[in-house]
Amino acid sequence: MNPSTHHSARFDDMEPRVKQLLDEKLIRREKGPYRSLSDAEVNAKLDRLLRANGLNDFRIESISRLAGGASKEQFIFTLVSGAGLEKRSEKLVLRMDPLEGVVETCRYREAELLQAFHGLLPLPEVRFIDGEGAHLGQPGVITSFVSGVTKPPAQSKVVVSGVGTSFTPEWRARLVPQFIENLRQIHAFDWRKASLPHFQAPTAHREQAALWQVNWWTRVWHDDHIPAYPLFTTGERWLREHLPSCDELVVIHADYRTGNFMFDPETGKFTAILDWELAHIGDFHEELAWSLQRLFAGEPEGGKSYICGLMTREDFLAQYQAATGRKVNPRTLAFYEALGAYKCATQLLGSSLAAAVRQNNHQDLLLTWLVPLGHTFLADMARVIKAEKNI
Amino acid sequence: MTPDIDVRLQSVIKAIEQVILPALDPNNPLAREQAALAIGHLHMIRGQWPYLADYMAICLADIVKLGADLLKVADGGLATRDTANALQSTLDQAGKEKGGPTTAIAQRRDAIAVAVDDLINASAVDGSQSFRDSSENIVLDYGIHQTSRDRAWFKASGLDPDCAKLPSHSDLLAAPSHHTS
Repeated sequence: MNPSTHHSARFDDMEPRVKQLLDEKLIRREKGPYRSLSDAEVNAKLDRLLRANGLNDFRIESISRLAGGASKEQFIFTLVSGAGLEKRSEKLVLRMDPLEGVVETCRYREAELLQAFHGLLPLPEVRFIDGEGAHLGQPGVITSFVSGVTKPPAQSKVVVSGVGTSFTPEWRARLVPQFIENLRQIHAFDWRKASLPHFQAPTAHREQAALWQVNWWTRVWHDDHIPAYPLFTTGERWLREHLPSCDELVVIHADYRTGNFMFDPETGKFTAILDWELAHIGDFHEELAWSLQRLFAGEPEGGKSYICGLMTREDFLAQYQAATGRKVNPRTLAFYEALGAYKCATQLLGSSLAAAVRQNNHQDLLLTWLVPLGHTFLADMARVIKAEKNI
Repeated sequence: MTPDIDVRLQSVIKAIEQVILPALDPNNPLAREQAALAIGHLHMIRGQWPYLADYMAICLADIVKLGADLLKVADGGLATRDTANALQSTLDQAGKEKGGPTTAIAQRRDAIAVAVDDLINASAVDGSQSFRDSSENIVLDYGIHQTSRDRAWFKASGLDPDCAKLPSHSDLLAAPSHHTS
């Protein structure tokens, strides 16, 4: 076997922008190790970006780092611009790419979707973008700050990135209808009429939606893994042999779960749907399967597991189908459940570990804390594949 | 060995908990989160290090068993045969190497894992259907066993949804391995 031919045949068919990002990562990660930025350095970078966007009379105040967020380096600051009656003050959020992190994504794509869904969904607004990192040093986006919480105010349990958040029945009653309705809106969006120049759609054949995802995440595993894992290799072979066809292409948020939406702690009304960085055009089953990942469920109650801490698996699928009129294909869903677990395992045992080994992230310590969760996802992938083999 | 690793880890944890963490700016959530994570890591390492050599040895034994099981059923064209021969050589080499630091055990395990990966990839090119089916079952069974072990190894993080059901380190290493089951 010629390894290069084998490699090429397996990886070639991928969304072009994703391939470009992954290629660029291989170059950028050699610049490490990464050192966390000081407030003065962040101030200087912001100053450059704002001036490049035509602002001259402004001050940057109250820069502070956000905890969590190993995917992006995040800061809150206040931009004070103008003077006298024209003086304006706004709290903003800066999200910057680390040299390496949990995932490699595109700030242009994130901004394009936030703009495309403006007015349709509760979202932060894009204020400035530096998609190539010309001014910030690394690609970044600045959005409005949105108030809200990601877990009920009374929950004392410490959770990371929303994993393990639980809700009381009262909170579920408030949040579930919005969770379903916002998902319906995302999947109903007419992406063909939108301005999404950094996206491409898998329209060449009906298996391409699944193939692009398999190629994306297996490429990441091959680029990033440190020790070899035969279970990944077997999982990849199974995924390639079971690509489902897709009849309807929709926008996939691709990380739609508790922890990635915020709500008002008094009214329960959604204030923002966050973390659009993995979004792409694909099969709606992929989205459902991701939300169903066992690790995103809250603690079981009375023997019942609640996906995203919100509702049972059966309720979620039934409500989604009732809201959208779509019919879930159990085999396709199982494929994407296996792929979702493969993807999470890759992000943890592959990309996060690689970033920490090269010390290329601002949160190496958090990454090494999270990496072992990859074993849980791998076990889930094996469980899904075993179950499918027995059907 | 005096003071031993456990005492030193315990002292570091105490210093972070009782001196460093209280001195951090309460308005710096990242610094406080990092300190808490450092404490968590040290607690986990304290629980793991006494069992590390045994843990790595059992992982190595299981992947040796995986390689041997795959070789028993390997069947296919040139690519499959070549990679099967390479796996056999890697297993033979690993069998000649004994002991050493835990890093050496990890290197032997990793070399076998790479050779197994190569065989699985080759089977996708020209492996017989029966080998593809049987190798899938063999690797899935091995993988389920190994991931259970890895999850138990890191259970102190409290992140695993089945945390309460995962065995302790001593129970984990006392249980029959994939190698002997």
